[in-house]
Amino acid sequence: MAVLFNEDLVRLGIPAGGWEDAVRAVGRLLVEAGAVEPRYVDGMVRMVKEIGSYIVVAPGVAIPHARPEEGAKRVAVAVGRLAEPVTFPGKDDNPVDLVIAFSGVDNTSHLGLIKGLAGLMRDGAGLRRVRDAKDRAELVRQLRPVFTGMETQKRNAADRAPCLAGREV
Amino acid sequence: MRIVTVCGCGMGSSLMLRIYVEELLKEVGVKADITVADMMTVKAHSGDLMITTPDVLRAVKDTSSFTKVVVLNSLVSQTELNEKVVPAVLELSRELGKEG
Repeated sequence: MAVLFNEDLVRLGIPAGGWEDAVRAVGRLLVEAGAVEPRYVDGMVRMVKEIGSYIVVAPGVAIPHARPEEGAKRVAVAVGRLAEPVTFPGKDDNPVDLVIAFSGVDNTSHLGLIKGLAGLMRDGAGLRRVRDAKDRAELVRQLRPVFTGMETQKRNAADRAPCLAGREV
Repeated sequence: MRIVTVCGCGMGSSLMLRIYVEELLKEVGVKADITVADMMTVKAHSGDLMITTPDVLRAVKDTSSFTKVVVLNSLVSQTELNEKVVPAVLELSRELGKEG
């Protein structure tokens, strides 16, 4: 299933009073795009309240999501850049300014999206470009290849030619 | 070797973790089956190694069906992954080698 990601799923300069505000604001993009039911957003918030802030996976980045059965209708990803960073419970040392919410309809069909995310989370320069993108169109141009798996293919090709790989830490 | 990566709902960080661990094992040259579980379904799993984060571990509570548990504060830190997962995997693979 193709990953839904376009300018409607990007919002820049979100004024969020706290982590829950931020998660709900980005979750709303998924709802408005028809990717999830509103209860999915409640599910994303509940995961943090019940388990913790393990969704804060990289410096300044949170990846809220919920189970497919909580109202996910298709594989989609939404990106929100916050006007001011927010802190998640127990993660005072890692303020979040980038919220990437996603939905999957089963355990595997969003694997390409997760591969892209896994790569992006370790790509300091890539994350910097996301933070510096001047508008939604530029951000979509940067991230569409990542979320649709084209970036992974490129990286795999680079791995086969080690001299070109240039890994970042 | 059987490894299970665990997160809150088995959709995000446990899958990312599986990708990172697969890469790492390829470099180290250890073969393993890596399964993904959430904090509920992990109860039905057993294995040699469970890899997760501190908050998910608190929610899982019982890890007695795993020989070893590795807890990562950062999922994406290559350093932490190297320092914690590599020794655990090498030790397990030595023990498994002895058994047979």
